[in-house]
Amino acid sequence: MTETHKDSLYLDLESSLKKKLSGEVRFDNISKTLYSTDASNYQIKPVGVVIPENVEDISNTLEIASRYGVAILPRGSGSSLAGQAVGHALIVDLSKYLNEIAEVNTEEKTVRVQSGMFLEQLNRGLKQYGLMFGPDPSSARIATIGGVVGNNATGAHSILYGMTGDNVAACQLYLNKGEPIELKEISEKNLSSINQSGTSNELHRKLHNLREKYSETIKSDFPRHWRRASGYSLNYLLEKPFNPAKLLAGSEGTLGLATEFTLKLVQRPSFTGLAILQFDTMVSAMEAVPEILEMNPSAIELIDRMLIELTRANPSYSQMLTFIDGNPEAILVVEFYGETESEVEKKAKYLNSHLITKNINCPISYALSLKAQANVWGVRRAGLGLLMSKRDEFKPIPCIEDVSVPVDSLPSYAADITELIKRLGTRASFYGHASAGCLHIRPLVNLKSEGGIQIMEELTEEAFKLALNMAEL
Amino acid sequence: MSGEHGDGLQRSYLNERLFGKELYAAMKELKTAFDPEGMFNPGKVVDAPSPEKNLRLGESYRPEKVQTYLDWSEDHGFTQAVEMCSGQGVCRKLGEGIMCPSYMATKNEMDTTRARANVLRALVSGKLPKDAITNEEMYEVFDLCLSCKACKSECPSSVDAAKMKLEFLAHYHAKHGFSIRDRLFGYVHEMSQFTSPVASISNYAINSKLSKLFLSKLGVHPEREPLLLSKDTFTNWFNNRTKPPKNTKTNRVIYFHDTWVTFHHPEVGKAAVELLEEAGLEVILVSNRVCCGRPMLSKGMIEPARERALKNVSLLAPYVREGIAVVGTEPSCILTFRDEYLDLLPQNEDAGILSKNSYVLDEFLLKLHKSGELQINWKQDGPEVFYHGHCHQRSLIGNESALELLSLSGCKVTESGAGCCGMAGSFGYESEHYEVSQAIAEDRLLPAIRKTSSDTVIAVSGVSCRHQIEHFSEKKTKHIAQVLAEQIG
Repeated sequence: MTETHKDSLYLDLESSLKKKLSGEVRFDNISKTLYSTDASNYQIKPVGVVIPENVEDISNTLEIASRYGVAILPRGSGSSLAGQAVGHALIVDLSKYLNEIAEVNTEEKTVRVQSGMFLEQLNRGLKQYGLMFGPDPSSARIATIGGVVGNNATGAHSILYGMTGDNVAACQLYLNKGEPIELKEISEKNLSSINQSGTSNELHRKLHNLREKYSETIKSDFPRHWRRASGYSLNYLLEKPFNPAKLLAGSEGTLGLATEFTLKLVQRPSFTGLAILQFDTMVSAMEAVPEILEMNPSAIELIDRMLIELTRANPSYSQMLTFIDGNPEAILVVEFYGETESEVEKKAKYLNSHLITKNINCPISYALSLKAQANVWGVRRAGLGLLMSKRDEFKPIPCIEDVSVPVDSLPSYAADITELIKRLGTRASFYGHASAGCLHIRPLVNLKSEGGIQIMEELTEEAFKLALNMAEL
Repeated sequence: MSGEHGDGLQRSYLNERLFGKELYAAMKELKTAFDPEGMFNPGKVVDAPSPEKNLRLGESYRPEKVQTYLDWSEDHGFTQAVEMCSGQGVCRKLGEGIMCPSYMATKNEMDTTRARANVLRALVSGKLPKDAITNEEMYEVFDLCLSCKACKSECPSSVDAAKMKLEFLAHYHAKHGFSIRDRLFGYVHEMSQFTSPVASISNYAINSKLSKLFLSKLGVHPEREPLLLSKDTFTNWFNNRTKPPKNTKTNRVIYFHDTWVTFHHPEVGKAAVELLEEAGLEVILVSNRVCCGRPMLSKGMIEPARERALKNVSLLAPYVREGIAVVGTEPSCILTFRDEYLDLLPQNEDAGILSKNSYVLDEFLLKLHKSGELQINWKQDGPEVFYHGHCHQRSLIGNESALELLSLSGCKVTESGAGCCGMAGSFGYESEHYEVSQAIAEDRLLPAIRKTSSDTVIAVSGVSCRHQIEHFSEKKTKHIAQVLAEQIG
């Protein structure tokens, strides 16, 4: 298709959408510019932007786009770090109007929520019931439910609550041509006896066949390491009873447009407390992780020296930095849950004696009051931001980002990555969810230079190989 | 492999190698089962393009140098300042903090700090035409920015949309000129100064139907009350009062008597003088000081603001060099000395000195208290106080000094917990912004105000925050200086 041909096609598309929709249709240059980026290294100008006011708008948008052969890109806040929310497509922004809680079921501990709602808003709305959504990505303030599922998001408490996929119960999904279907748990009997026609039935049949065809391969070859946001979540194909809604976890908007999810909820913890461990080397910190896990913490988070130094240099965050003495290369923040304050305190203090028996001697401090804990989390959550606020051509770029390895492999992984980064002549910051073997590593790279792009490629490639070599992936 | 942040354009290409041929084939079949025509977000998870394509920066990225009106050297240049936005979108958060009031009201991507940085990056990188910096489409992106400066501290990358808006407006108005309304608001100090000698007549005139009609034709919202002049000015009161006995050992302090205190709310200035004198200081006014330039800056009038900055700096710096601090009651004036003067007058040593020695009243008094120099005896018992801080103060120096001083003085203080009030100088007066201004106030501030008991004192430090609260609620407000002065024992 020639460019002029395309232009007139898009003009037609725009006017068809405008005629049919009650929501907003934006094809102007500025709007397209605003939707051409997310939080990644990428930029693509979309065909146009639709901001649907209701589900009828969505149905109509999909039907019209399908007629014109134009792709659809569902989008929430556009805070994705790997370019999931940018593309040459018609962007459907769900965050403005489709952002309500439809129903809270306190007995079953579930919520039905529209996919444009921010996770933090959802949790605020659930507070009165003493409930919350378990996975807690640090972007919760702005990440929409649709994006949280699309990325199979999780956060500091993944060792307790798993990935988002584990917490999805049902969803309302619009397929091409604008047809909605409901996906939820289906019994094995019903799954194997579907014989009627219709989009939903056909999809279930195809998924059933897919399971039959690939179940052996999935069992033998699918990565066993559970903290995974790569590829489709084929593991859920094998689950019995089967729940096709879970397949949307990590699908990055590529399977359809989900307008509503039913999510499983958890009880809010009664009390929490933190133990903060300081280490002279990154490797020794990583070696301690499996030992700490034996004490059943709710989270183990890593903060490294580069971040501590940046925090010290920032006037508003430096005041929060009351929990570190000296200049450790790494600190581990270990969180415990409990029914009472004293239970939490006991658990946190017992950690020290446990580590001594394992010959791990490191300075340890505690944050037990709400304020002290808020300080520690404040510093941890500010991590990425503080890195990003460096005024320099060398930016802490996402490329190794969040490679996840089994916790037992953490020390050798940390050592190898440090070596690799050193060899490429740069430095990096390490932080993240040590409890789950998921480290965020941000090397300082100048992407405006040819050398910088080569470094990015080599880092991505080599880190990938390292992770691949780790025992079970 | 990715344990959290997904595949997208960065890592989808690795999936075939990561999962092996067979699992990858299963993934492709799964995609086709749901989406046979490949309509949804193509190129992610399976069938990905090369990760070197479509880079935001990349090798071909050649930003154009933009001639700027402000000094951007602290960010290593305008382009670098614009590139600081990483796109995380923290400026889209709701129900907490201040950033970004415009997004909180409209939920439009266009009304975020990220959008403002994004359009400027598109401009410097040639994705938008060169003249975009003077066109209406870009004006729309900056239009609802209240210049509250919240992003300066709440954005993790410290992207400063207020400064970007100022730079943009300067370019825009260089081409289009200023409207009568812009001039009216920009030169508010001069207007007040000119009409003040005949305050009663001016007040009568501005309240007349004709004047209201005229103002609404200019784009001032008819529901807004005009700002009335005080019959006597603060300066008259100050010069004609019986001064406290002079003591040669007493430290001196300059009270920067801003436009509002001088012509409209002299009671605030009187309270400030009372506090400073009670604290054992000799208060001096610099009578020929001019407007700080803030009203002009919010309209993008850079050159007249720069002239005023230069004048104030040359008047005040000699005092500062003698060790005399400058204290004010309008946070946005004092913080213009500390913030924008440095951008307007780069490499001006006096501007640097003034910036380091200018204080908001509560900040100054608390500093004295901490060094054991504050001599005020406070009443032990004070009222319940609901305190709402000015955005510039919260963003640049924080609310803590106000809260600490209020409780020190015996008040039982609670913080509003709300974001911006939505007034932002002239913003809330402008017809096209009235509704957004109200929506911002209704986000958290007005509901919290309505919940306060009838004997709770509403303490505010910015004049526009006061007017906004009084306009949209039945409650009366006091400046924090008045509340503190009443607590002198």
